Amino acid sequence: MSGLLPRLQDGWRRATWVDVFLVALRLLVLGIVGYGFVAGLLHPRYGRDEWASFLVFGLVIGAIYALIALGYTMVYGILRMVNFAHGDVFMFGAYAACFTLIACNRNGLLATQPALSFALALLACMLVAAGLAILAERIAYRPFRRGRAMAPLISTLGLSFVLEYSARGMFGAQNKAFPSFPAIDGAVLVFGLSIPRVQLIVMLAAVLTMLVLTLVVMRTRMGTAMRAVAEDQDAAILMGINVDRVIVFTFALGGALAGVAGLLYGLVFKQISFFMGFFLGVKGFGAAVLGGIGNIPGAMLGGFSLGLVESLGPALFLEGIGVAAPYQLRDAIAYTMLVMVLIFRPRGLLGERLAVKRA
Amino acid sequence: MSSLQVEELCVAYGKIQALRGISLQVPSGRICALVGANGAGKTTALNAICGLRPLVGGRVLLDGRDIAAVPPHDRVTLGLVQVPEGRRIFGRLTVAENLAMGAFRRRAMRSELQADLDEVLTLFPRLRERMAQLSGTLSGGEQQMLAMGRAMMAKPSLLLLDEPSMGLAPRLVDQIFETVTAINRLGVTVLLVEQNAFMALEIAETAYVLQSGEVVLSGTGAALIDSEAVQEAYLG
Repeated sequence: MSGLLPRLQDGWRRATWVDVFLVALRLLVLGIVGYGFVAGLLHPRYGRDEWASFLVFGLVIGAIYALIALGYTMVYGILRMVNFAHGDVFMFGAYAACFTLIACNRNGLLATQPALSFALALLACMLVAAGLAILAERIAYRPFRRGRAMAPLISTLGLSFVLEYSARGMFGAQNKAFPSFPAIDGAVLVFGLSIPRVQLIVMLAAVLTMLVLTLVVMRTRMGTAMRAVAEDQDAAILMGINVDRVIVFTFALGGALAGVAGLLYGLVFKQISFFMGFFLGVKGFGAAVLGGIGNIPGAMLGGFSLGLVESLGPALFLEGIGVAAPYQLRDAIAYTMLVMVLIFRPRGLLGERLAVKRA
Repeated sequence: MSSLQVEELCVAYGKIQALRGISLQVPSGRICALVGANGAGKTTALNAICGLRPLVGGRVLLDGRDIAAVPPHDRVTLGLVQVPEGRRIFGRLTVAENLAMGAFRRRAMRSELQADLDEVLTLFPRLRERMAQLSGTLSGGEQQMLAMGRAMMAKPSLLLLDEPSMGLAPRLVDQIFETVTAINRLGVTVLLVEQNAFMALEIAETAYVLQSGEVVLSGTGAALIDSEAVQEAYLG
């Protein structure tokens, strides 16, 4: 048995410059975060209520990221391809919900029947987004499936621009106000903390949606077929599974989730724009990669982690370092964390080894 | 029970001819063996019959009907089911889910599926205690049983088996071959591809020897065991 010292010496001898750099990077990040954390604790600026609201907001935005990330991850799991138009599917879902609620508002349904209006908006955003996702599969993916791996990537990227700028043409370049929902305004007290009611409802809706998705994937015939196709397409064909149909189903499912995310985003942020699909799409993709792309629980975990880090990070350690406007840097924190995780755990939090088992 | 007739089947990978016009007859209710060395084109032949490989020429007739127009996933509903080489079970699905995928295309009553499941589990009792287990954690022999059980859940009338004995211990190999004859006795026509030629020829009524994409010999299993070509090909 070798002692600790010889092992350390041995490790040092074998280390390459890359290892040294990575260890230094790790220490640096830990140092910065640790210093900011301690300094922040020494000069506490936020009370219990602020922390609670950071936490809740992190969970809310994380839930929205998670819903978007699920679409990326499911499509990737089956096709090993990223659908770059997914963020814009989300954006169209938000517009569909927005217009439905505006219509409900106009005839007074929003005030008298808030639950029905919500249900109508939910139905509209899911249908529109699922339909768009199916369209994306048909025109931007299926024709290129047998071609080079790069082709569908480029075509979905192109479709993303088409969707963005047609949204700009149809709905205008300025931000659009999302109708306010009188029934879910105000705040509720949970464990003595005041939490905006809308955030509670959004979180609840997101968690319910994810539960339903889990049931669909784990318990239904089509969900099982999805997992089978993700694992081995040819074997699935030999079992009589129509792979094309499963792929369409997967796109539709991911699209519907993005649609729900669009509605929830509108409820929380009260305004939407034609360009938001890009930012939220990148965040959702980041969350999927963070959790381990192709892995469904990973997408959920990745979404929530990204949301929490982004929401708590500035107050947790940037404030202590003395950064002037820490909240301007929330995206920097989110993406730094993403890069860090990928450096030290390239498969993502829950991802499996990418190596293909079968030749 | 179905009969299979393959006429002048040609398959190519790019410019390389993998099958140069092979013809096979698998009479209804029989076991037919397709034997040959590595790379002779056995797996290619099965995949072409299932539609996974495009044909360059030739025809595949199931019960006398040309199935060229039937897409591969729909051939299962005609009763044509393959147990692929290397088992290809869904490792991240449970044993029960794998078996359910075998019955994916069947629009049967729950009670009927349950009866078929019981039949399959009688054939492979080992699977019964592992129903909730992830199938990737099964042993090689159990995975082969699962692959065959999964195919049986599709109610095949013609079962194509690709190297069912590959990588298994001798005792298990005997068991697999016994199961193949048991499946055949249930009224399923079997086309068996094997490198383990002697055992395959022993249970097969008719057999074909494939060499470099061509049928070089055919006859009854018993006749081929003693033939010089097979002795030469396998004993050197």
